Amino acid sequence: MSALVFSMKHRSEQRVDMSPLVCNKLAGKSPSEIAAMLLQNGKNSIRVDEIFNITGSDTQNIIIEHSFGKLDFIGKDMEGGSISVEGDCGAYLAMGMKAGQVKVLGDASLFAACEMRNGYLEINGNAGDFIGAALPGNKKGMCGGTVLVKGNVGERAGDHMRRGILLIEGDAGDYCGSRMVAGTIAVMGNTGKLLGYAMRRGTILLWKQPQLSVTFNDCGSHTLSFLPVMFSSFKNLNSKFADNATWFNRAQRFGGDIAVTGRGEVLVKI
Amino acid sequence: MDGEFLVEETSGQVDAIGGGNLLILAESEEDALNACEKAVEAMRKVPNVILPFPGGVVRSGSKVGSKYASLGASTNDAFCPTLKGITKTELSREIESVMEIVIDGLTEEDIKKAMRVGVETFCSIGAYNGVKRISAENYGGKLGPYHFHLQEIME
Repeated sequence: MSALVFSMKHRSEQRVDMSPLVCNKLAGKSPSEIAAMLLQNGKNSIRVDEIFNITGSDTQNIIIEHSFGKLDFIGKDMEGGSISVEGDCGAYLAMGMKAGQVKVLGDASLFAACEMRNGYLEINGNAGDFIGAALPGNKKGMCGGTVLVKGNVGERAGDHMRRGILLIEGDAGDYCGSRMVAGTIAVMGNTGKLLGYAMRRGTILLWKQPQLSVTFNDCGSHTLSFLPVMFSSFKNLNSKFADNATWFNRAQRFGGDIAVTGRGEVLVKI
Repeated sequence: MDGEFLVEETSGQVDAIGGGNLLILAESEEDALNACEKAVEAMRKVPNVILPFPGGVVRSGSKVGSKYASLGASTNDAFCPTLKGITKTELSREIESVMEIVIDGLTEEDIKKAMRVGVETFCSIGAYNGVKRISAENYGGKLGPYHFHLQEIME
């Protein structure tokens, strides 16, 4: 059975809600039933086959070809299977995903992995603001799973993050790890201002020296035996994080944000 | 699963003293463990005392009391190297590892003898080998009626 391929016919002027096209919602449907499904397109509803050519039939293995930045909610609440996006994607990528994997060849926009619960998300390009965050007004961001971004991410990465691992090979914008409750964020590149702003618990792991606010206190240099154990869990990823030349066990530890409970930590490679 | 279970039929019981302790403050985990292993080897030769923890060394030390009423012990934050910046610490900047040796003995004198042997062993290893400070704790007297003051023991 070949993968179910949605190949974009033309770029829509309005944004498209792709949330119906996830593996668990398509399971058991024939290609003609899928073609007749309706997608929200701006204020209108359109049939899937109005904007996509559909080939293949394996609903647990979906490929979206010629994707662009107005396809929102790809992989929303996904419960298994895999989605490959050939191109960029819009906002709310893998929002609330419970299981399975989503891979994007291009960039992702705002709120990728927003409130994600489990599974694996890989973004080969850059990601926008609020990756792994909570929706505005909600208290729990990403609650599990692994997110790998090979490019840079915007501001407020991991805002209100609750659990899970957010791996960023490039740079992170301002307020990275803000209001973090728990979980792990690792950034190989540079980080912006007010890193870990109001973080309560959790770990931010850095390869480069950050600009920390005064509410983070230096706890000294340490050889931490848990770091190699954690790094070895990344060895099967297609990433710089899997390269043991990037691993370390010696780190400077900063505790904070003491403006709140202050049980979070920022570990910086020495 | 081994095939048999072998245990003494009867065992004796006598009142004794628990909770004598020594803290070793070192520049690295390796230095602290090395010092503790040598001290344990010497202290185990002292009669009427036991070092009740595996290998005689405590890596994850606790203090008496906590902020929760139902929890009788919690992290010994004042001596935790990774919490130096965010708690009222007893550690200086160069200390990266603190380990503890707990001593239970039949009498106060037995525990004092063992502690003296331990301190002498630490001193023989010396600051050049990473052993920076020796300390002990009674948690403000909350640990019990027996207080072991290191300077008195070494007089």
